[in-house]
Amino acid sequence: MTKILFGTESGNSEMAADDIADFLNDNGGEAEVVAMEDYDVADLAAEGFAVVITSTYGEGELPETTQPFYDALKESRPDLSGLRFAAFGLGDSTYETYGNGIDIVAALLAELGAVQVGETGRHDAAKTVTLTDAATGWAEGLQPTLAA
Amino acid sequence: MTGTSFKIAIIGSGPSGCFAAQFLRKAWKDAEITIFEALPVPYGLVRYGVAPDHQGSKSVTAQFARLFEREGVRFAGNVTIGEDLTFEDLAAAFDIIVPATGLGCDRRLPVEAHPDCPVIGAGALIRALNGHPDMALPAHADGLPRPLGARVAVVGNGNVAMDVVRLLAKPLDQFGGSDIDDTRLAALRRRGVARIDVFGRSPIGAAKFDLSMFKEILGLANVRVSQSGTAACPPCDALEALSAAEARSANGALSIHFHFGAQPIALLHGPHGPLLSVETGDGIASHEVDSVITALGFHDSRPSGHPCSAQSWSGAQVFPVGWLQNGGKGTIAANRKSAKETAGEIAAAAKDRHLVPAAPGFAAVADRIADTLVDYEGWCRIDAHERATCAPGRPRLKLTDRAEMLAVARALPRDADGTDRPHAAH
Ligand SMILES: Cc1cc2nc3c(=O)[nH]c(=O)nc-3n(C[C@H](O)[C@H](O)[C@H](O)COP(=O)(O)OP(=O)(O)OC[C@H]3O[C@@H](n4cnc5c(N)ncnc54)[C@H](O)[C@@H]3O)c2cc1C
Ligand SMILES: Cc1cc2nc3c(=O)[nH]c(=O)nc-3n(C[C@H](O)[C@H](O)[C@H](O)COP(=O)(O)O)c2cc1C
Repeated sequence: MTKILFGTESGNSEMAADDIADFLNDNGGEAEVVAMEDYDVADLAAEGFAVVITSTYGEGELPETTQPFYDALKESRPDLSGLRFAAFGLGDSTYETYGNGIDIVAALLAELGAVQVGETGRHDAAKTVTLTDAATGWAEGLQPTLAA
Repeated sequence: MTGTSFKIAIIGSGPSGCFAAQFLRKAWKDAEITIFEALPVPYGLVRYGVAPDHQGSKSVTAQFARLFEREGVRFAGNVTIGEDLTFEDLAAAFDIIVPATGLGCDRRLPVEAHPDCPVIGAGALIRALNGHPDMALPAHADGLPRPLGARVAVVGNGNVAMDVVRLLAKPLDQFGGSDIDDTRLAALRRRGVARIDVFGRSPIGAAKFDLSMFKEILGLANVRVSQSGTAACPPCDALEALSAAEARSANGALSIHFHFGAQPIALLHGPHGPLLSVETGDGIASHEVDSVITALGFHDSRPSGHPCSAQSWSGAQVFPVGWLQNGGKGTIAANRKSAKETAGEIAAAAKDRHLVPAAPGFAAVADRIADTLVDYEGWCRIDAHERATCAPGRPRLKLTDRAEMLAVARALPRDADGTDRPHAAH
């Protein structure tokens, strides 16, 4: 079961997580959406593969429900060398620090030994591409990498 | 077959009502959930508060649309609770009631009215610029708002005040990707806004605006920025950004002066026109103004006891959320958090059997609102119309006339030129 972990403030990242899970489930995968705030980071090393999704707040900072997940990882520093992950970030390009949040999380996962697969997906709330299109388009592009 | 699943009425389709529906749906797959909304269109202040040039912040509506499209939540638009149905009607028909009616009214500045200087609430101003059907600004006979004049005072230092300053200062040709009401904006700015004085009570370090909102104004190419009231302030990010902008913006045509630690106390008759009298640490100063816009927060306009006042909606089955519940504080995201908490309380009350499914639900009130109801399909017709009629690059052109909104929602016959037949409006 692929865990799709999201951190959010106004719920958009959760919708992206739902869309990505729907896409994977419709295409032969088995995915489950879990809020970062309800997730025990001690389980992460054993996931094998996970998708992480977060928005950006403040001046390029993490949203309220991503921060505790990030802090817990930083504190416990699990060995994630057995983990592969894919990353999708939400932001708004009218802010100077566009989409920083996902880069912060991805950098920490890499630092702990996890290997990122595929490109970091992005949704820009200031552009007209819908979140659903951005998220499912990204998941579609991710598929060959996952199969490999 | 009543008594098997909860029947839930949410009053108001702004973010707090929609988020409450989201979390209640997660708690109960089989609950019957109806969102009642006074307007024929959903989403409350996401549509009519969030600034029209901040479309990114309006994009949460995609989440809310999913409620109606996939999650089986019913939109009952154009139904005002307290008028079309009473609260007691709802209390009899539903097991759980979630008032999410927000706070409709700008908090006033306690100064006496002046015949030549309107004092306008920021909420009312931005509602008008967002194309709200009930425009509450001083207007000409043709329905267009009166020009604000050349000198505008903005009172308040929160994000809403910053929205006002930006909407009045940004060049008219820079609203490209927005859904602003161009006609009303042009009418308000027709005399040419030349100077904006912004009065904030707190020192700059304690000002409530987000730095990014402040910087967006400082970055406008056409403005000249100046300030007072920061001499004794310790360094902070906002002051640094302001000082830098002050140094580089000397040639801007539109002047914006930020007054910190400044509190307007009276609107007086000066020899050349209205004067806003302002108290600061250095004493009292007067500023010539043509209009005053107040961004001092919001309150419930209706006295308790009024049938539409949520103050009088109470009982063990009633769980208010959002701005109504917290006094008008916080962003869209804060409403999600509070809706989640409230949904948790509701689920706990059900678990303890303080709430038991027994009510008949929407079917019990459906007949009484059949003539006025605008359902989700009706809103989709308005939405499609607004998206189809806008200029290139714009997300939508909002309908601002209630009768026309209803005609479009009901797909009543319209003349070939796109206008409604007079009789088709009702
Ligand atoms: C000018 C302005 C700009 C803002 N900009 C932002 C921003 O950029 N980002 C951000 O995060 N937040 C912003 N906010 C804050 C955000 O809009 C609020 O946090 C949020 O809308 C409050 O949600 P609510 O659901 O409690 O109330 P509202 O959004 O006010 O919704 C209440 C709804 O209830 C309906 N209603 C009222 N009475 C009745 C009745 N009797 N029967 C039926 N329906 C009724 C109303 O028509 C309305 O649709 C802004 C607010 C304002 C005023
Ligand atoms: C107060 C605030 C600050 C924000 N700061 C940033 C930012 O620095 N960079 C960015 O790319 N997006 C920023 N955003 C935009 C959000 O990341 C974007 O709206 C996103 O879709 C929200 O997703 P969520 O609902 O999952 O939290 C900000 C939004 C708000 C309301």
